[in-house]
Amino acid sequence: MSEKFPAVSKDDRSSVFRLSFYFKEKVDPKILQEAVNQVLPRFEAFAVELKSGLFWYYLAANRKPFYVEEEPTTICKYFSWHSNQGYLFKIYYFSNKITLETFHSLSDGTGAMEFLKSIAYTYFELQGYKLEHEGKIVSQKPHSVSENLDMFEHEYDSTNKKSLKEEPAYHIEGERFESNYSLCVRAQVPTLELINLARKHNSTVGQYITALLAYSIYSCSLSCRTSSKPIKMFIPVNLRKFFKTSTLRNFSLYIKTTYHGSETWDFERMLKVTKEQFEEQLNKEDLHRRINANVGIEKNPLVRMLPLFIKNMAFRIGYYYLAENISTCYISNLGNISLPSTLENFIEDVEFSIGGTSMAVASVKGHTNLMLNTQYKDLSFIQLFVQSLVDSGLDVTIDTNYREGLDDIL
Amino acid sequence: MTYCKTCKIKYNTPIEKCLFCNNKLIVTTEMQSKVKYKYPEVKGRDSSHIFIRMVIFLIIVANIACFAIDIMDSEPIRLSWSLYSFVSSIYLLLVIQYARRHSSFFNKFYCILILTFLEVTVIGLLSPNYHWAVDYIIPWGIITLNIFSILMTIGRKSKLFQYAIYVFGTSVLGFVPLVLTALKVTETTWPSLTCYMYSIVSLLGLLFFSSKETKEELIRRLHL
Repeated sequence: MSEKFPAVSKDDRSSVFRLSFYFKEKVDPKILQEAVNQVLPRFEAFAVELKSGLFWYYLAANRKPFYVEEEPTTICKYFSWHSNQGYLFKIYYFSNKITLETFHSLSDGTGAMEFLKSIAYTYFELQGYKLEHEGKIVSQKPHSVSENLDMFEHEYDSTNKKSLKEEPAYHIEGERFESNYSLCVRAQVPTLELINLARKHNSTVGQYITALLAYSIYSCSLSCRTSSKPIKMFIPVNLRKFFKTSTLRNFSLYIKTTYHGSETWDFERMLKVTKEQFEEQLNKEDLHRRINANVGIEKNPLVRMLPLFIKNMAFRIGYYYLAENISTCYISNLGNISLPSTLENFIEDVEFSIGGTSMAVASVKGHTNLMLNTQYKDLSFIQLFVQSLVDSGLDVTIDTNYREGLDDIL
Repeated sequence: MTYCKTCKIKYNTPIEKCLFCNNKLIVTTEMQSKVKYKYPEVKGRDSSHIFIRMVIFLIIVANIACFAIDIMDSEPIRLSWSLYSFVSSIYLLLVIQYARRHSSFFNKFYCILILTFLEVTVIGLLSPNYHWAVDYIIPWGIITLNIFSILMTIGRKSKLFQYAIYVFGTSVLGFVPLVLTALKVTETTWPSLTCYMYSIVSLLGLLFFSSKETKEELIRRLHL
């Protein structure tokens, strides 16, 4: 199922997410490239290329050399694997930053972070530093077949499925940046302060920021109050917490929170509803039924018989109705990134982004980076979100890819 | 680091005004000169798509003009020569589309070759006597594609692995002229029979000379 992501991807729908490490020194591209090529054979989930058959796409082993590149201006930019030696991920460098951008078909945030950690570890080892992995670097551990297991196939049960039907969601309106540009606003807050703020409202950090972002969109988008389409926030869930596995491949599923704009909302009520919907959906049985429904589409004999070029057309239409049209915004929380102490001395910061209009969260070294991305020139909902954090007493520091005069170019 | 007094937010990036309220930011630390942009600069718009749009627009306008002139000139009203220009325009658009696709050079060249043979065949079918297209172009086109695919496999074993699917595909296509002959669509049969025999030999060659990995790859591609 995940092999379909590249098939439905295009310039304005890249299906790519990014992870970055900021080093304390400028990146040496030659050493970085060597580090990637040394680590790649250990990560079978990433050392693949997408091939097309008569009826399906499939992933085959890729032994070609990998080349790193300078970071492009567009975050989570669509790239063709044909012009990337067949690889479905990119490694970029810019000043003191290394970035991994990968199709979701290869892995989720957890698997991708393990890959990036291993690259960073090997990079500093190649520079001559003596590091201790403390059991936190996958490339230093013995290889396990379970790392490459497709858990969706493994857990599939044809007898217990859930309906995948979803109602269309409200979409933010306004003037967009050109060339599929995504503006990012990274709000950095102390992790402990954020956790205490969430606890004050008897919620988890995930529930709190989901409700806050939804409330910001509701408050700033007047058209959502007259729209019949609800605001729907999609939150990926790491299924490894429910199904014991050490797979590095994509093993995540979305839960959603729904808020009808025609109702009157305040933040407290939105948070209450968010908590209820999280509890309703975050259980193993419900998630298992949804896994079965997703995989079941592929197993359908009528679908299997269709030639690939017909399936591609159906995937593109189906992706719109089953993914794009049904969500207002995505929120992904990677949690705290655990690094060996020797490696942590070289890492300044970590960044996580899923591009488009979304929020991605990652924490490291006592601070949390909330990366808000938008394709719209109107930043009011981001402003309200950030202002709410400031008004709650949090110390907020902003970083952005915005530069003066950007509006004239885009 | 800079600070916005209105929004009470710190900035760790060298912009001069607050993103949200547009007020001038106050420099709070002496380290401000060392704060750098953490993302590359946007260089400008990509204007290549405007050129493509212009080409498509001109092709559409030219075809509308051709249809109009053809209809006005013919008695009774029907399309004749303008259909040739229409087919050639579609061919040109498809070639541009395939040339711009993100795929390997071989794949692009192979697809454009198929399009060329198809275009010539369609033009032949539009003409009063279509047999030169059906009897000769189709079978020899398939043989040419197959020879081209086989040439790409010569050399390293990895090349046979990579291009075997193209050889297999064109060998299977080689049965099409035989079907046309069986349906009595063709007048001259020897090119179709040559194509059919050549495809059999090509498939046998693939079977005899392919490595185990290549055969497994073919099976995977065909989902057998």
